Amino acid sequence: MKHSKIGLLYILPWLAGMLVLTLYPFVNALVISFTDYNLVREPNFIGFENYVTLFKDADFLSTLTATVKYTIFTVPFQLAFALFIAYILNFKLKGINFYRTAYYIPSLLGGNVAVAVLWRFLFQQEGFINRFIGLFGAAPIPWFSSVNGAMAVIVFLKVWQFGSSMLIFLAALKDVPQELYEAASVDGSTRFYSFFRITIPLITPTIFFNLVMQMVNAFQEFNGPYLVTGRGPLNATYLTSMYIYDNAFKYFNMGYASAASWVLFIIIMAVTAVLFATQNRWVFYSDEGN
Amino acid sequence: MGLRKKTGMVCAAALAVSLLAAGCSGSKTAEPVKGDTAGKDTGGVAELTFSWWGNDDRHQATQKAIDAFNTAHEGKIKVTGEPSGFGNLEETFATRYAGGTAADIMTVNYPWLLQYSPDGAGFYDLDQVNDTFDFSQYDPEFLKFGERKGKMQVIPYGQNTLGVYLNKSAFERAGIKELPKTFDEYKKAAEAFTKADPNSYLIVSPTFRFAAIYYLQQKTGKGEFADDLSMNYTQEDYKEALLWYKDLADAHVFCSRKDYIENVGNEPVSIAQNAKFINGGYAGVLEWTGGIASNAKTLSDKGDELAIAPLPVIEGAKFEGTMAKPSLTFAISKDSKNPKAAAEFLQYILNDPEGTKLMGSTRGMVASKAAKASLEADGQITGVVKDAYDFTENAKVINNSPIFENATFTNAYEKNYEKFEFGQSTADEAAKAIFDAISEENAKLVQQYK
Repeated sequence: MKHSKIGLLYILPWLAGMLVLTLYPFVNALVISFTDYNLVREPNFIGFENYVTLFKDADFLSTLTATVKYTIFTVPFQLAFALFIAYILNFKLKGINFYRTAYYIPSLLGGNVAVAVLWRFLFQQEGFINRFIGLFGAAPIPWFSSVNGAMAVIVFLKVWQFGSSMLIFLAALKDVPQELYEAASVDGSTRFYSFFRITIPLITPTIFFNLVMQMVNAFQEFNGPYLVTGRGPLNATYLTSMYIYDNAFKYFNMGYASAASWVLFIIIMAVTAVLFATQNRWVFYSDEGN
Repeated sequence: MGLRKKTGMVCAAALAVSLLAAGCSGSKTAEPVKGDTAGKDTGGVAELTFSWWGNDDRHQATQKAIDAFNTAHEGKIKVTGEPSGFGNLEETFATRYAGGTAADIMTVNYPWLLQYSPDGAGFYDLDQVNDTFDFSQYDPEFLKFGERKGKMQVIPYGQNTLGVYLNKSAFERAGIKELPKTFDEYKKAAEAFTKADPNSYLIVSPTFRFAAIYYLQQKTGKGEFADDLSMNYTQEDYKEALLWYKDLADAHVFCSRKDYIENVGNEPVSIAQNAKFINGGYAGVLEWTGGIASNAKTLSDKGDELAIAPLPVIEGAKFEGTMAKPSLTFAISKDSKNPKAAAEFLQYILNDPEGTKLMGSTRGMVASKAAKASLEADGQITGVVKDAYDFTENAKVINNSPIFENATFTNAYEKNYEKFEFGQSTADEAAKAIFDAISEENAKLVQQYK
């Protein structure tokens, strides 16, 4: 009893934060989504009007398309890249801790203003990237003003921040028993074959975890696109989170923005549920069969 | 489902929930939380905060004025500056205002007066401090811009006039000795510029809307909205504006939307610190006079000279001028615990000879007679700044409606011009989309403010 009270005391700060900063706004947003609240005037109850309007709103639907595209492009690339780097960093090499730290740094920097400036500098018309590809005779790419270029810029930024997935993969790779590789080697298995037949199956729970986490993050992405490309040409990089922000704080349609938030939340939950439903087919837990 | 799977599901749900927490917290009512930052009275010292936006030159000048004020009022009043850039002005203001964390002394964009104080009670009633702030330094007619329902809510700083400011040195380097006066002359000048740099443009405007309204005012002789807030332009007007701008963008007179997105971004922002403007890739701007000192300074740092160009007039113009609005305004928070001290600070930066000298011309043309006299005596109204004063006094203008800067309007112009320029819609479709979006928002605002 005493221990449980102490435990409760320890998690109290988190619990308070969760209740005040997450649960309250979460419920409040649902209430506001049924109103015409605009930050300045008293809200009026308008029923499902915001939700009905959302599904007729071409801009909202286009942001959903952009968000899905962004998620499809970033998540697989980021996971594959993170796994590839983790695999390399799992070898016993000289100075390996330095490399592990170096590869994690981009994730610490994230989508902040300094990184946004750097990214704009790299991809601008006469920036480093265009000069580099110019060395091979290629014409400069209008990264920010072309639909595909703008999307590529923010996808690169997200994929570059692979550090946290990489660390989780690294921990998982270390848990794979070496005896399995040795036995496979004795049977004539190549390193490539062992990777796909031993490593991948054994780390599927970690792949699944990273997949869910990164998918949820990608659907919620805001900082990078907002700071680097903005809406992009023809709203190419106008993600739903940015649309929510604009409606809330630029056009003061707080009720409408709250409704859009809830729709996005439901979409994320639905995709997460689908992923969970598929895991029986490809995720192997070591405690299964116990 | 194993415990591990259940835990994973809960984690995913919590993560997804956090999106709503990040994006949509808000108070149910407009009542600000009292006593947050609105002027703390600690130990006899009235602590005040002052928020403003601008470029570096404005930040430095304002901070110097704050420091001088604090030194002169040591032990009585202490002002802390809260500067910001030009981005997300309205979002920041709205959030702080609604959250009750607005500064004691606020810089307020003119259209926000109607929005936040439709009943004249959104800000502190400045008539209560007329023994501290000297309103006699202002033209009474001009001060009416700051009134709402008979209450003095904000102090307008000066008049902002839309004009064309050109990098005279870049024109000279292109072999053009005399600045263009008509759009045909601009087209010819653009040919000379693009020979040297095919990506150069003569005039960049923070938004297509400025150029469109400039054109439509001259064409129709009317502002975008009438005094009763109703719309003055038709769908056909918008179509003409789209075609006119596109023609000039194709000729590299006005910056194309594509080039703007590539080199500036999506949002309407000040061009003063843009690399392409500084390097002469944009040879001029269509902007408010309020930003002219910043534009001139960034060019002079590089050895180039900025000049005010004669206002180009379209063929068959009914009105040969431009648009104007009160430049930024100042308000005291209605929740400030020290409105008298706040008024004292406003008196210092807006009317006091020393304060106005330190503030300089970084906010554009001043309306206060005392401030103008102080700046003239200090030799600060010279060169392009003096030209801007002369331009402001002489230009024929139509004043913007208070609803002009509603973000929905600007977005309608930009989004639909962009679609048109990128070939995603015809001029007719784009004009209809602009007209419909503006009509819809206008109807809401008319209903709201009638």
